[in-house]
Amino acid sequence: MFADSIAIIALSLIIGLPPLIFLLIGVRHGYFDHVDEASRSIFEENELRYHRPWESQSQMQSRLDHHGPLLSNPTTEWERWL
Amino acid sequence: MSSPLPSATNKQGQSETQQASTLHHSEVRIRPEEVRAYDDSSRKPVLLAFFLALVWLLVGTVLGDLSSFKFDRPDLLTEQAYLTFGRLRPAHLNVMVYGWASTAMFAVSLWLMPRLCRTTLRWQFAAVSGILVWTLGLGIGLVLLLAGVSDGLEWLELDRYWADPLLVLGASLVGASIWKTLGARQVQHLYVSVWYIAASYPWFAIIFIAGNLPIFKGVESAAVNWFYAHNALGLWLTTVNLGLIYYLLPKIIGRPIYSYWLSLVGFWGLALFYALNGMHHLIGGPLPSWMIATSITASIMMIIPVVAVGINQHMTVVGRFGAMRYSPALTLAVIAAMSYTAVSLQGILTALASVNRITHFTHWTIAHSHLGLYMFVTLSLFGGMYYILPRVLGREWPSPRLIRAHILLAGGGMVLYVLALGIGGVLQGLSLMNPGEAFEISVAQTKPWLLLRSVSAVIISAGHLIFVYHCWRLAYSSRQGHAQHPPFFELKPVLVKKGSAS
Repeated sequence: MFADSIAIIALSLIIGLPPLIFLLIGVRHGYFDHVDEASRSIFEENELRYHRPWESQSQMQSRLDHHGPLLSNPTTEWERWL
Repeated sequence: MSSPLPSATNKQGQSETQQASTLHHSEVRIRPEEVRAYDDSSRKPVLLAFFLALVWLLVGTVLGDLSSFKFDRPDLLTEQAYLTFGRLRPAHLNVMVYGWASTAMFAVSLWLMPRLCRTTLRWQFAAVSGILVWTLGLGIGLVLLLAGVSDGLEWLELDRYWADPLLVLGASLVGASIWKTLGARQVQHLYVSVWYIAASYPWFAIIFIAGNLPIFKGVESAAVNWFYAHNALGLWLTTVNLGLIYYLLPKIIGRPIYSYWLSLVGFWGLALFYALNGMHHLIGGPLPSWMIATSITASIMMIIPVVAVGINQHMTVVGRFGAMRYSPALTLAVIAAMSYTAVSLQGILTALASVNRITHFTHWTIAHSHLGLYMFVTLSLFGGMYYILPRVLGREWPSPRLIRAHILLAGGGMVLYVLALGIGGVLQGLSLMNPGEAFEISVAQTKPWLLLRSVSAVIISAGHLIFVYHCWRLAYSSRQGHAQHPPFFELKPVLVKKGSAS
């Protein structure tokens, strides 16, 4: 019985162990030290200042407070479709 | 003319940029012209992959429709062997998984990585070659499959000598481009989408090669088969699409992901505990009981990363669901994210022996797999295409009406599909478990639900045709995506108040 399952054990270890090693390497190299900044790293310059047509006044005010005066999005991507 | 890229070839400058980004992420804002340069670097393979994916989407749709109609009219198209159910159904599955979804995922990966790594796409030729080799492998495999040459393992039907080596080579070439780009990144941190996408390629190569090795016999072959099939869903299709959703939601909503920590919990939970899930498909089979028990335990443990991802994505969008009316990409990403949570919880539930006893060998499994492969994977990829194509082509989608028709038909049709087969599957399972009922009764009970499935398949097909037509219109439309006038300050009431105060 056990011998029939050795392939699955080996394959699971091949899949599962490298992520564990990468996790330890990541921790050691500080990849998880600045998570808030990392979460904001995808935004382009001024992108968080774009006025979003669906936002409520309080949400717009919050955006204004955190990111400065609002700008219009230079693309026309937010046209209503529904 | 100066390069828009930040000291791309200067090693010292690169090192300084990396260090700076580590210490002051918030100050290293990416400039729009840099983003355009990254998009331009991946334009060729991205467009090629999306084009091929759409071709496969149409082929797979026809194969799926024919397979479905055969449940209602068993004598339909039976004169030719290649049109019989036993060949069409695996052809549909393989075309959808490897043709449509995987090829579109190549495009998504190749577009996202340069943006997230803040460098141009490396080894672009390898990426293009990989996509073409992959397509050639799938084409050969499909022809052989329809001709009756099959490996006979679910999700692994493509010929292991003529087709599979080309698929491995193709994915490895695309993966090499992804990892080379990762190695040349200009930032030290790795956004969560990078973890998901980069990990997907070696995982796929390992599980696909392992699944195709012709050395497993008997029950071990079944175990390795489901090891592959379930991990293909969890460590390939799921990972790239979660990476895409983690990028799309915050970008469109305009605020960072609710909890970056939770996103990491989701990724590492999947990475460390997912591999053993597959054996829950073999509950009741002649396997060592500890294997089944381990698989059920691993499946239940998946509730941690699934709930982490679900809470995180919901809390990112909460209060801003109105944005879905303005962005089809967001609409599809949100539905896909919800479907990921739903299909995962459904999978955990189905892994319980008491539930599995009813649902095993019924149409419930088909409903479950379509909830995952369509409502999650395909809708996510549609969302990705709605977001990526205008940026790569420099044009906006020509018609909101066509967007509306596509999403309502595809989404509505699939809801009908999943409900019909889910209900039909449970009724079928209960009938099969009743020793007082003949087998024919269980078949008869599913007939109306299978007819409803065929109706929904036609609705979904109409959605696909509209989407492909819209993509063609986008490619040849002259509508520009960027406004002719420079950005201006919006004079919204809230700003007037604030502006006058300051």
